[in-house]
Amino acid sequence: MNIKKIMHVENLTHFYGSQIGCEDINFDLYKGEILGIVGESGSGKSTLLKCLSGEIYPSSGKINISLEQGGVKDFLSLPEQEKRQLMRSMWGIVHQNPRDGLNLRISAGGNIAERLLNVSEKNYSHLRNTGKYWMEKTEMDSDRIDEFPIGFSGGMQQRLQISKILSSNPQIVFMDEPTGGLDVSVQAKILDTIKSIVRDINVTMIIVTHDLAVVRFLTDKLLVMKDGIVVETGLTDRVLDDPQHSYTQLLTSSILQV
Amino acid sequence: MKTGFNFAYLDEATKRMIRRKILKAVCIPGYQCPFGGREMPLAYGWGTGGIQVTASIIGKEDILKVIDQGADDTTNAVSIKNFFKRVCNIMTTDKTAEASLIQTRHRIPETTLNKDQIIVYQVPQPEPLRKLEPKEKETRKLHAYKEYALMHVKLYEEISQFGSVIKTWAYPVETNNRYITDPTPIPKFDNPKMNNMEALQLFGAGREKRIYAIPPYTKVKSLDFDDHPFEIQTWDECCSICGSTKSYLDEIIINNEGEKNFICSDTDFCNSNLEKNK
Amino acid sequence: MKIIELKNVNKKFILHNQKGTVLNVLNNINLEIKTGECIALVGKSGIGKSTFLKMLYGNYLPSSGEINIYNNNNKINIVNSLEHQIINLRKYFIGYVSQFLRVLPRVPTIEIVSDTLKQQSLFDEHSLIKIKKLLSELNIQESMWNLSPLTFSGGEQQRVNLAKTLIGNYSILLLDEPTASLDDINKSIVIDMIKSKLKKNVTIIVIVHDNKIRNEICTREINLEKYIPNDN
Repeated sequence: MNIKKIMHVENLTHFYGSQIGCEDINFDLYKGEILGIVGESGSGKSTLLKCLSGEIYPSSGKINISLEQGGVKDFLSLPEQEKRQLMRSMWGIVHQNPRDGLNLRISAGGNIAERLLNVSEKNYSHLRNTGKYWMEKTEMDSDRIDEFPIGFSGGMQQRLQISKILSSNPQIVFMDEPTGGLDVSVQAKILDTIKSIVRDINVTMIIVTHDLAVVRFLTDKLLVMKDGIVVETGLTDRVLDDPQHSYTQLLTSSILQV
Repeated sequence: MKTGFNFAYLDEATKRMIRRKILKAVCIPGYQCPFGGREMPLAYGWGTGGIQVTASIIGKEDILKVIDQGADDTTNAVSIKNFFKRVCNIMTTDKTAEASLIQTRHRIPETTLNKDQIIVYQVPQPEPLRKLEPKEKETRKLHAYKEYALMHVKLYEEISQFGSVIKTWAYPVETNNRYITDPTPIPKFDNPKMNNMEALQLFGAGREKRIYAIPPYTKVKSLDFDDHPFEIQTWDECCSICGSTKSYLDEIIINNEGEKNFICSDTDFCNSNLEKNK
Repeated sequence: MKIIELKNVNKKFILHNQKGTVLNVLNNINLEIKTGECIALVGKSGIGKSTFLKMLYGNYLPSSGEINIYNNNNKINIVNSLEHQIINLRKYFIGYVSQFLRVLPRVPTIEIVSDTLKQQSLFDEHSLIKIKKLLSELNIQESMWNLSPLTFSGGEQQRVNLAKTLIGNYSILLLDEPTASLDDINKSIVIDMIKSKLKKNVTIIVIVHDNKIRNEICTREINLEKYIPNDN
């Protein structure tokens, strides 16, 4: 069985002045894979995500991406317009803080519609139905489609952000601590939602988190980062059950057993 | 003509600068060109952009018409007309058909304009995306990359809240399949007149210092959804003066009981229509 | 036809955070397993039977050596293959029943079992009947089908764990003490199920302490004693 490689990262390095952001990152991402990037604060995982999603331009290295139509492209040399278009339709970021990904001045449905309008969908009732579909898919009440997200709870806002991103049927979804600011029970429910969506549609994801429970729950493979470099990589359950590197061993043994 | 002024008030160098901007604007239909706006003897908001454009293109042979909300006899229109009479010593008119240059605030005349005419719009806010995206840097990118989803989101919001698009003036248009353009606060009733118009349309925003243009015979499409097409206003009443049913009507409360009348907003059209019907 | 092949496999654990202690567990394993065999892993407690199974499943990483899985004419060395290849192998080829049930919280039993079929793209209109039949055969009451198994008793969890894997169409099954916490009735039910899998030419590797069961189902024993490193 031949699975398509959709991202190839080679020696990716980013410095903030003389300070290392991330160094010599190498990995491949295949279609349908869910990659977790774990590490403590300051380990460079967010820097890596920003490089991958085009938010910052890395100091050196290569990112090759393979788009649905039209072969392999060098992501870093894409013109800004194409990068923006990619982020608005084929790719998507779910931010830790839903306010970064949502427009709070427009309704829930409008937020989803914005993403669809980016892929030049100009049919109102279709926008409406797709909006409702994705709200239900993320276990929201689709009757609230015309309400403003400012009146939603944090968990609901996060669900809305996820449905917005998924509505355009993206090729890669980046998630930055998707359950970061939420309390435990809401976290669990959102993880359930993400998991069930992942089981239903074949979406490729990169999830950045410091929460090992989240990666065990959601991801297929793992990059463990420390001080800007990847110290261990492999199948998620392999890395967590049989950690090889001393830092990974420390990380996995630091989880409190409840 | 009063002495001490150059013809049309502005000095020749300034006029040349503005004409160059106008040429650029004509070349890129709907694109907002920044220009070095000058102080005019008029407060911002009263048409400083419009009169700079008019002053730059007006010639000795031109016949000028100025309207404000369709009327030739309102303060703003009369003042601007008098201004150009003094600084250019040119002819003015109230008749749309006779004018070679028409400066307007918030209306397009009902009489169809022809290829020998130029219409100059006074623009309060040239940026159609301003209320949706506050950052100037970002709106320029949105235009440059043709990322206009936000504009449609605005329409989406209105349909979802009110059942239809309720925006009745300054209804955004797409010019020449490219730039989203603010047609200035004209009623959406006038939007179809902009499409494929024979006359050159120039837009001047004094405070924001922007000029944009729609050349003759250019496609201008009002934004809409496939299943919610663009519609213009209609009235059950007719003009109580001339009886017109085809023109844009103003609603006027005529007494303390709240009784109301409808009359044409375009005074020239109303008068000539009355004449014709006599 | 060989289906699993181990070449010079060593496994040691290095505990970096416990003064770098090295636990040498298994050494120099060379063996082949043929299609349709039922292998019993034997050896005293703590010798590394579970470690052995986990290495076959890709869950533990051998310190050196090769573990080759033969799928028709394809050879996959799970020690150095890509993550998605192993995931694919686990989806369609190798099933693993761990000692303890490990499932996502809040997912109902019936969904856990049907998930296996969905993953293998075998889920159709007859599947639910099949799943319900299997769950009833394993004596899991109908009232519990829509509950998450995490609140079930040890024996019930074990049976859900078995159902989850046995429903699938795997060529290799790795069973880690599948009958440990079951009573006699359930034990014999499970043994019958394993036997019927063997009839379908499924290769099974099982850790089972009960001699009687071992004799009943297994075709060969592999004693891990001979792979204990000398320095231990």
